[in-house]
Amino acid sequence: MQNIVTINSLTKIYRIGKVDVPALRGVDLQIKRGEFIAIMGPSGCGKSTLLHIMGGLLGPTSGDVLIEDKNLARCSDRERTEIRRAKIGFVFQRFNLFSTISARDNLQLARQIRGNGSFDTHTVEEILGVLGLQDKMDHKPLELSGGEQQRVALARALINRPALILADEPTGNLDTVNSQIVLSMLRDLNLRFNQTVVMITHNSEAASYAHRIVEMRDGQILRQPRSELLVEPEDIFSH
Amino acid sequence: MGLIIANVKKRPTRTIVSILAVSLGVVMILLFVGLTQGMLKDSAYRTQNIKADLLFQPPGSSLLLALNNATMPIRIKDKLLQVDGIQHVSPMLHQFSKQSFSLIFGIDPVSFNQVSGDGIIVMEGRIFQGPYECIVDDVYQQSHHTKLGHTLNILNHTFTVVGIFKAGIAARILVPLETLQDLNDSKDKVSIFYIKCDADSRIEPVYQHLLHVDPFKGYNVTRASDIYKVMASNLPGLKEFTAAIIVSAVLISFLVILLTMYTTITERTREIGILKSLGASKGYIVNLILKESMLLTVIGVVVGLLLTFLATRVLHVLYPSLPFEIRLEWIVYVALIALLSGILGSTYPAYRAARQDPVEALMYE
Ligand SMILES: Nc1ncnc2c1ncn2[C@@H]1O[C@H](COP(=O)(O)OP(=O)(O)OP(=O)(O)O)[C@@H](O)[C@H]1O
Ligand SMILES: [Mg+2]
Repeated sequence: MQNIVTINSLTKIYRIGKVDVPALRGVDLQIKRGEFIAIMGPSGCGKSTLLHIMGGLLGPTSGDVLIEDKNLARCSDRERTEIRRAKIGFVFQRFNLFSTISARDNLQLARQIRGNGSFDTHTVEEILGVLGLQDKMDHKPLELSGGEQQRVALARALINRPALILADEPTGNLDTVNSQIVLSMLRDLNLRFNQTVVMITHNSEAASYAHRIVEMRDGQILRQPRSELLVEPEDIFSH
Repeated sequence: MGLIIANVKKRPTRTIVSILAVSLGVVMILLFVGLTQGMLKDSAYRTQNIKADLLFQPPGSSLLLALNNATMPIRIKDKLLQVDGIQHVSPMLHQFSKQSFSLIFGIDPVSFNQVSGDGIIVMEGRIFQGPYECIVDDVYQQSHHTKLGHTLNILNHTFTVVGIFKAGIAARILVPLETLQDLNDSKDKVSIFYIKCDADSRIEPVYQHLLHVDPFKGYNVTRASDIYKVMASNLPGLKEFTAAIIVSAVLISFLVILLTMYTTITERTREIGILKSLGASKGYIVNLILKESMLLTVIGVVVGLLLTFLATRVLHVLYPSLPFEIRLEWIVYVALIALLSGILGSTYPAYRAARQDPVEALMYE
């Protein structure tokens, strides 16, 4: 089974003035195609930093980060941007939609930036169907509920057929009902399109939607219980 | 494109202000250039239409008659007539009338008609005969609603309008030379001699003769074909002033676009972060900012052209004799100048936006 993400001895040190702030101190992680992973851990342990590096928004201090066969650590800024455009879809806690244009135009903008390679119209309709958004497309973000906005953001991340969806606390701004809707949709998309998902969350209920939970402390990943590593995603959903 | 239009619509005041700043520059340049070129063209045209071969003026004087009142003795006329190749000479004395803000020419109709091809074409009435009679051209007649028998006040004297002549020659008001000399305290003085040569081939030799041989050496001699050029160079500081107007217009557009785009990108820091998270390259973001400022400048140019057009209409109604000449080439020029200042003004903001750190931008409140 091919790894979508392979991370070896990754460190990240932020420099504030003359003070070094180590945010990641030797992270190793492998993520397989089709996996749905939750990253948990206390505030400030480096979750967002890890996600940003995986998505090529941030360069690492040392170590290797392979997205499929491309090593982000050895890329120029321009190459990182290309990998991000082709392979990554971000979902944020704050939705981050463009508020001045409609949901449809938000999706269109993402497709336009991607250029070739986004889904065909038929699949786009299918995604919108899964997300229950078909009749909301002409609304502007502020005319939508938080849950609906996050679903539009999810659609925007998915529409370019990314190898990897990176979600930083996607339910952090949602109430319980909407959180459940968004999470089960994330799981549906993971199943239906074999979409690899990495999700940061503080909420163990949210984490329970994932195949695997990665625990972080102080810039490192805690050793995983062996049992969890043994489960292959296909096995879980094969019945 | 949808995003650009949405951005522009989101801050209507800012958009309108930047559009107006650009259009102000356009209006400023076009009106100034249009008016100076128009006036130069108009007076060159009317001087040329006299169809004299050469103009002979006192030393140091200007072809733009409104700017000087140097005179010379009328007896030079006889010396000129002795020059081989000169056929006719007609003297003229001019006076700038502050009341009508126009030039008044004192002429001698007989010699004037000898020098001038078609001469003065009287459309109504007749040429002046008595000392306090005058004729005006049809443009003056229409803009002042003058009728034959009306009177005009020139140098505190009352002149009766006895004729209307076809516009496009000399000045708009013509009076007898001797009368103007009397009123002006410049008896036997004239400001210009219009010279007609025997044949076209004689013009150049006569010109050279007048330039280099005493007693004419030192006087201002102009060939008919050089009138426009000489007039343009006679207008003091025209080039400098035009340049100053263009530079201020460019500066206004540049600064306003700079400020607009700078505040825009600051305000939209997060959106730039989002674009980057979606994989937008630096080029994409630069392009977006440049396109937005181009949209503003293009609208500014269009609005500016409309305003210029309106302004010339209004000025034409208020001052019908004010000549405007706005040529296509200047419209293209001005549009390019405006676009250039728009591009310059948005370059730095675009560069800033493209360099934004995506993670920081995404955290921006
Ligand atoms: N731009 C930055 N400059 C300096 N230090 C930073 C920067 N971003 C993060 N840090 C530091 O790096 C560490 C990890 O931050 P990070 O945002 O990755 O944590 P997190 O696990 O996502 O926390 P939270 O759960 O609160 O979102 C923290 O100590 C934080 O203060
Ligand atoms: Mg975080």
